[in-house]
Amino acid sequence: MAAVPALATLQPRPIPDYRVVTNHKPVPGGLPGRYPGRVVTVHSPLCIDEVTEKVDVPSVRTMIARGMSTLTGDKDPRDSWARFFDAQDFVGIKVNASGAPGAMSMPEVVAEITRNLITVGVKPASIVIHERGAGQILLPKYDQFVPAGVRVESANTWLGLDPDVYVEVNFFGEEDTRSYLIRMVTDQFTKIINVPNMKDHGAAGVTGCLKNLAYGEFNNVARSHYHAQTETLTFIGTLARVEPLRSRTVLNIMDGLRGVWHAGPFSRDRKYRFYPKQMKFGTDPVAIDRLLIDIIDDKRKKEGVISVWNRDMKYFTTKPEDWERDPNMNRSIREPGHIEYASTLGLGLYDLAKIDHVELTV
Amino acid sequence: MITLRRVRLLAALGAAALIAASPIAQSRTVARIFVTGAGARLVEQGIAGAAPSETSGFQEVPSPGVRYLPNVARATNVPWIDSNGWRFARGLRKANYAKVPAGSAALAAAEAFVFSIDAIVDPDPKDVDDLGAMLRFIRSQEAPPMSELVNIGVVDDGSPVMGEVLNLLTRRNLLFRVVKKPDPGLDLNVQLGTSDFPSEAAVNPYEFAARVRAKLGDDKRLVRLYGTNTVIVRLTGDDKRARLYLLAFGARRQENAGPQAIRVRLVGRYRPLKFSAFGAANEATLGDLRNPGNTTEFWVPDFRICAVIDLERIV
Repeated sequence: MAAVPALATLQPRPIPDYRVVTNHKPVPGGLPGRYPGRVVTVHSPLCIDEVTEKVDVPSVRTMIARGMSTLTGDKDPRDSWARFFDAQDFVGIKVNASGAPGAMSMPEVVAEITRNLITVGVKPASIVIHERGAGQILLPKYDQFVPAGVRVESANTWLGLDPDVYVEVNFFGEEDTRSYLIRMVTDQFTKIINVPNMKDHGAAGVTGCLKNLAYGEFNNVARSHYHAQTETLTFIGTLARVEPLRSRTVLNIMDGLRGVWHAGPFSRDRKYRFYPKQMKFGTDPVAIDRLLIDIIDDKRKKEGVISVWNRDMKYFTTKPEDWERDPNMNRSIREPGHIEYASTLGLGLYDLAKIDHVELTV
Repeated sequence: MITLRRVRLLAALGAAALIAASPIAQSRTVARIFVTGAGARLVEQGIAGAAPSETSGFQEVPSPGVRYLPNVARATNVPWIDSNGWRFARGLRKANYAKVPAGSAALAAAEAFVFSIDAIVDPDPKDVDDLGAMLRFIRSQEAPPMSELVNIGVVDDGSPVMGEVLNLLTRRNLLFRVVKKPDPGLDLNVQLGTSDFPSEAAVNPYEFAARVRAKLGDDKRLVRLYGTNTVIVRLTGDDKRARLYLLAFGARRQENAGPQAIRVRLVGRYRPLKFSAFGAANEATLGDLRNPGNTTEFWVPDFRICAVIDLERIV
């Protein structure tokens, strides 16, 4: 791994002794998927109103069409979608609602994704918008935006946890050492579309594709944060690699209409929101997340606050209110290195020189 | 006391848990619960005994419960269990729950039941109905006595520090019994002043319990619970059966609920015979039974305060 930028006063801990238990075998085509290292970014100045935060649906429709067709090289975006999905698929859309309503996978974006799935033959009843937790998934009111029949579920409302797929690890002496994968991933979905946001994260550094999958599809994950130290560096990639999550996640669409540059993954204070007005498309979660680091860190630099790479303990506070009030305070020492670590597990390309990044504006 | 021959027989049957006789193990399975005048109605109903006028044979103990203490690491609070299990392990046989705050009487009775202790409970008047319901539940659990299953021996010097160590071992479900000297038949013996457990290590009982856990190894722990850190277990059994008691101190669970509230892992291969839980839904059952290797795993659905799982050993 590349050296962590300066100010490394709190060193990462040794890699914990992970025990991965799964009864699913790897399937060819799993992450990083069909297009390793390829990322398409579509900008749209009109996609969201910064004052009202109202999403412009036609702009979103155009962004997704251009993003998908550019990713696959097809002229017709329906052909692009058809490369990934067909009428036999049962598709899980993994949204991010942990910061809702201030930050979330926008309902208009999710609705357009479902519309495209239905266009290529996926039945509405075979589309499930989901999160692990029951409370968060209800806040965006996805059901009011999507066609009838499309379901909105959580592990609390449908199927629960899979007792045969989990990662066992003891980080800090906790008693509950298992993180189970939710059962709709293992028993129902044939494919997963990952729809993260662009957010700072107090423990992981940033939260994008990898963390949305790992911490959003497994339970009992907050135990990886303890005082200044977090184990997100290795835990995120370890979880994202577990089968069948790895092989069933075929597409990442990062919703960057709105973002959070501090105090994420939540968005309690609107002053930390910003508006990248873009979406990223790819199958490689590492490549997309690598670009996300710079988006969040550049915004923080622009705001004159410490980098997500800063490990200096003088910026650490045990009081969440300090961290929420002051963007120069850390509640944990962030671990944006989790993205590079995931690349060492084979989940994608981290090196910017090897990432095939195409940008366009609509 | 069970004989050495019997211990060997059990080992031959594949019982990873070494069976150890303790004073507790020789007691009835259903504790005798007495209530003060506040619970006279329960005496009239025949589900509790009247507290004797002379209570000197009953040692006053704190009310069990859970407190949520601020956690400097996160915005959440961490649970701190107040259990008397360690006192019972030290030999206390008759408990007087004399100061039971409102809402705690049923838990006090359940604690006495789980550890097979005779107890006097002085309920808050508002708790009498709840206590009555718990006593009926306890009565329905009558079964032949079995020995306590443990695999850790603790040489107890009787000191306050050692008391706190026993408390933490109880809270962390590291199943132990107090021994006079190290028992080579157990998987682990804990004795202060040894190289594994130097005296100075007990200064911090929390870290001492972690040391005990590490020395034993999680795979050898007779019972593991996933999805909660506010439930204490007790395990009894013989060469054919086992009974697992779950005593829940907190109404708040972590993030799980419904049919998958707690995942249980037991060393040894069992099949469940009966699941009884106070406050569980009528249709509640154990879920997703598995027997990986020489272990047994299943989900326990949501319940309140106490659950009892009777198991049959797979041979």
